Amino acid sequence: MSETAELVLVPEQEKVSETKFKTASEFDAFWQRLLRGVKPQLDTLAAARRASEEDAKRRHIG
Amino acid sequence: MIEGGHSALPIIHFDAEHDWPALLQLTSYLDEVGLDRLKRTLAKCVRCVAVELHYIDKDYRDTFSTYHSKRFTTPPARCVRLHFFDAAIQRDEFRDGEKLQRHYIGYAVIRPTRPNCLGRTLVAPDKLGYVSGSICTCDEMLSIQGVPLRIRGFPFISQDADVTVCAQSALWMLLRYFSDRYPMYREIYPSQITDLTRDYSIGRVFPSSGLTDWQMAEACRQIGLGPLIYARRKVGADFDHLLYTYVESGIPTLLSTDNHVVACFGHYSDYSKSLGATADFLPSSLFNDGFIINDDNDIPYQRLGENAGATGAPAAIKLTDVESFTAPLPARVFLPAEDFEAVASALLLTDEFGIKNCSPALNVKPVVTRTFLTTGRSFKRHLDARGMGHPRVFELYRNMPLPHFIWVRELSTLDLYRAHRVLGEIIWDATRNVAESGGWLALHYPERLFVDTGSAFNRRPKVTDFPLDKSTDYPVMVHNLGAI
Repeated sequence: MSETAELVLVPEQEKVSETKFKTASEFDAFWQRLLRGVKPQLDTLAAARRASEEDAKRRHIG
Repeated sequence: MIEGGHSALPIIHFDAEHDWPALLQLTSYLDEVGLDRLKRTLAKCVRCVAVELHYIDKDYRDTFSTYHSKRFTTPPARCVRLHFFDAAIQRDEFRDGEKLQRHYIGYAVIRPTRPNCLGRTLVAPDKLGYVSGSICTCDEMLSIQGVPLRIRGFPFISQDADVTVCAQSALWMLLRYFSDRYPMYREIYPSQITDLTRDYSIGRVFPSSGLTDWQMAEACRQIGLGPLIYARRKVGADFDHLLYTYVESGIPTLLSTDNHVVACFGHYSDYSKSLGATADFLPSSLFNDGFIINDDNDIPYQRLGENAGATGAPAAIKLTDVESFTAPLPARVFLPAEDFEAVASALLLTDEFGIKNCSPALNVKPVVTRTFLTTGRSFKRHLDARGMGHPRVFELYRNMPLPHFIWVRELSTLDLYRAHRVLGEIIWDATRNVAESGGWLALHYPERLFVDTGSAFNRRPKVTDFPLDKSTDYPVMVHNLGAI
């Protein structure tokens, strides 16, 4: 079997599991929706990290 | 009693005639301040001290060559190393490696420097009688007269006030931990720490006038780490939680006040405390009472936080004094803790994969969450012992290709978490950025396991849903931190 073949994690995977989204674009749409919801929070967190780095240049310890 | 008082290795047996003051007689480099610090660290356990005179210490020799030897009045180039034991060891027993190892507490190098003579020190926290909590430790091999010994702890050193001040000392403790524990990080000596920041310095570097937070982070980056800096005023209410999360992940951090810095490498928690539970998720950091630190101006393994005095080793600074911390992450960890927690929380609240629709067992308030960073290899190494609540989960995780580093958020109920047990977890690729859909690797509830079987094989994401029945709870993962 080549590395490009469809691989499974456990032998019975096809029997016991189901694919949650029928197409990749369905999953992408779900993911983009999730990211839109959390983006304001992620932006705030990134801003706090940048501000912390600026702060770090000023805090002299000795 | 002092055995071999005129030999190169005098041995002090603590008895009615001799104890700590005898060290001052045998070790001219030791002063009253240094002796007091040794007593506060070791008084509960030491019964015998071997005094290794004329010890050549690699860290002191580095600062001696770089700085002290260039002065008109030079201190001696050699040190004294003290070896501590919790039982009486007779002179002829120093060839019995098994007995030495059984009773070995650790060592402290005494430097001929003022105002601080306490050099490289490594003592076993579990023997000291005042340390409790979860801490990062590393192993060192050493020998006494050719007899090999091993010691496990967190490195400590005090500043010499010339080449090193608190910033270099705290950095040295962190970097020595990394080089002792992980072979990919090279050993760094005190003057080299200042050299690491030379390109980011203004004016002379010796004698040292200290470093900025930024320079300390830069020193970490120069040796291959990927430091993140968090300032309390900028991060806000999550500051202590983030600090806990990195320490819980086994990442020692640098804690900065407005004029001092210490190494933080552990924490202590009270899992029985009552917690107000109104939010959907209750982070395990709420059980945390404080952190375990090495302050170069004081003694090793101090407590910083609530109930610090209970152990007899409270830190001189307060947790609220800490203005910022630097977390030196492995360079390949691209996803910060807070970004992972934000997307993981969002996923757990979706209709498609959220707790409400997918897990009756976890659909309780609050769900206790514990976040930590680990390696895929370490996660797999613990699967067998933990069982993972269901044979299918165990088998899937075992077969799943995992990234080098993963973020894990364990899910539990309040009662189960107090017993250190969980019902599931979410696993995220820590080597991806937060926006990539393939970063989410698996979500495990007692009733089902979602796995991205596409990303697992380096393909487009494909979420596969594995139903589970008769799942059980299982132990939390304990990896980089050891319980003392």
